[in-house]
Amino acid sequence: MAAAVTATRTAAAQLRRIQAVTDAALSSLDLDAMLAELLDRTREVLDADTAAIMLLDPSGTELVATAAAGLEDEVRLGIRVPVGEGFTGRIAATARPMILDHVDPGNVFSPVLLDQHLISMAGVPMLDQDEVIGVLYVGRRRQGTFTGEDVEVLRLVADRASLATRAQLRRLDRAATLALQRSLLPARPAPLPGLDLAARYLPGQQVGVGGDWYDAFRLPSGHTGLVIGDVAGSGLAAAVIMGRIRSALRAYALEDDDPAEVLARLDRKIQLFEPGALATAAYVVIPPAGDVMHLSLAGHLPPVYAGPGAPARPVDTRPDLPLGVFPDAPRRTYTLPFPTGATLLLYTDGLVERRDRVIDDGIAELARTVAGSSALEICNAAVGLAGDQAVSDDIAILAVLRTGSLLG
Amino acid sequence: MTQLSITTDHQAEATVVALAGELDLGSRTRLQAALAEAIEAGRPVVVDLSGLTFMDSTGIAVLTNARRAAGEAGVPLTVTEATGTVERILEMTGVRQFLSGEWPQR
Repeated sequence: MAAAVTATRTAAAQLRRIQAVTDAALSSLDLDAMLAELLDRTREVLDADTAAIMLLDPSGTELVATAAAGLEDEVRLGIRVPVGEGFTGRIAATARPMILDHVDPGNVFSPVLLDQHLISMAGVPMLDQDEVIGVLYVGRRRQGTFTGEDVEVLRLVADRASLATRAQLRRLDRAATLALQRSLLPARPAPLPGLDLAARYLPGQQVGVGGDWYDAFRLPSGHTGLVIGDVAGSGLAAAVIMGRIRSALRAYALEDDDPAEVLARLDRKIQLFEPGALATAAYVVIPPAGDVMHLSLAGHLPPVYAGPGAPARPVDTRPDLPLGVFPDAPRRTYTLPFPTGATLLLYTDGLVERRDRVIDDGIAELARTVAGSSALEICNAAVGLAGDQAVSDDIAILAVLRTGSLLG
Repeated sequence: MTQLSITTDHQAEATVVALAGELDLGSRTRLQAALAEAIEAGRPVVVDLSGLTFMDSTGIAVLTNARRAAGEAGVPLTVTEATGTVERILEMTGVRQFLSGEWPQR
């Protein structure tokens, strides 16, 4: 009896030690050190020889060894386990704890577990709300199966580890997304003869940095390309796809001067290499001679155009399907006037979309607002529209004023 | 912000998924799961948007992806009854006809 009471007290004290580690670590930046410490103490508390964490990779199909105590080889060798296979893979697939009394090649996937001569194991899923983000597991080199109480301790540790991992991943995701966005979207587009350009990118309050982009370039043929686009989704995943779509569009722009053809090729590439991704884009090509522009819309909102001295209005066009929706969707190119003194504003939906009004009203308001004698003034006027209320989506804006001949 | 409500009705000839409220990034995962389940049932799927008051580009992506997945599974999927601001969003993103079944499905 006395021994049992002592054991319980010791267990409680040990749990408090685990909690102390995680509480302190949640506010620290060094996730690796925190997980190492946490696994070390877990090993002690459960009288185990090894303790390790595998996290689900971004594809969601494989677990990757991420942190370990007594099982460092798994991390060093970058062991990966397909979800559904082996011990940890099955825990990830079922989102349920599992106890293994006898480790053999038939029930584990990682060769390191066999090399380490582990005999019994126990593991639990690491959860973010209801979604599995990884697996925490312990092992012993001697007989003595893990109990339901051990699993409860593991669950507690897993909760703490999940919380810290999630917080860290979000920080990393945000920092990486911002860095990517900054590298791809220069604050000031490179100057092009005959055009005054200004651009702005604003992260959304709800989605943060997302998949919006703008681009402006002069092609060897003398044509000028202007792009605005929006990859659905948010965070690093959307920004990475945006980066690939943006450079693919540039590559196809080099091959053809027809916007519809460029978007058709881009669409084909997205269908094949970015399945499930959806993007809208407006692509404008201004030929070196003449007073026109060619425009194709892939599910994108109409740009706002103002002729010299005339009021601004959305261009009268119909959008074709967004990119990534349907193979070989038909696409049209519109040819519209674009003489010296005319302005064009390309923007993404975050600028005009509000929950409490029809989108046409937002576009009409934008057209009323857009005025100015330079691209920067026009850009600032458009941004002002976003400033007066909470905007949840991210916003990209590209303002263009034609100042003269593009042949410069 | 109004939460998205999803009601699935397994009728004899079709599985009707009725949406109400606002569809955005926050409700994406739930809707994806509900539509995948409806397609799995094998009967034609009708997505009824009559109760939907707002949808952003995330919603467009979920609906167009579901239509494609349905096409690959050989299950007809049509999106119907969009009104007001939601109908305008479908129109202005060029997907209204595609989702309403006026396109060949493959």
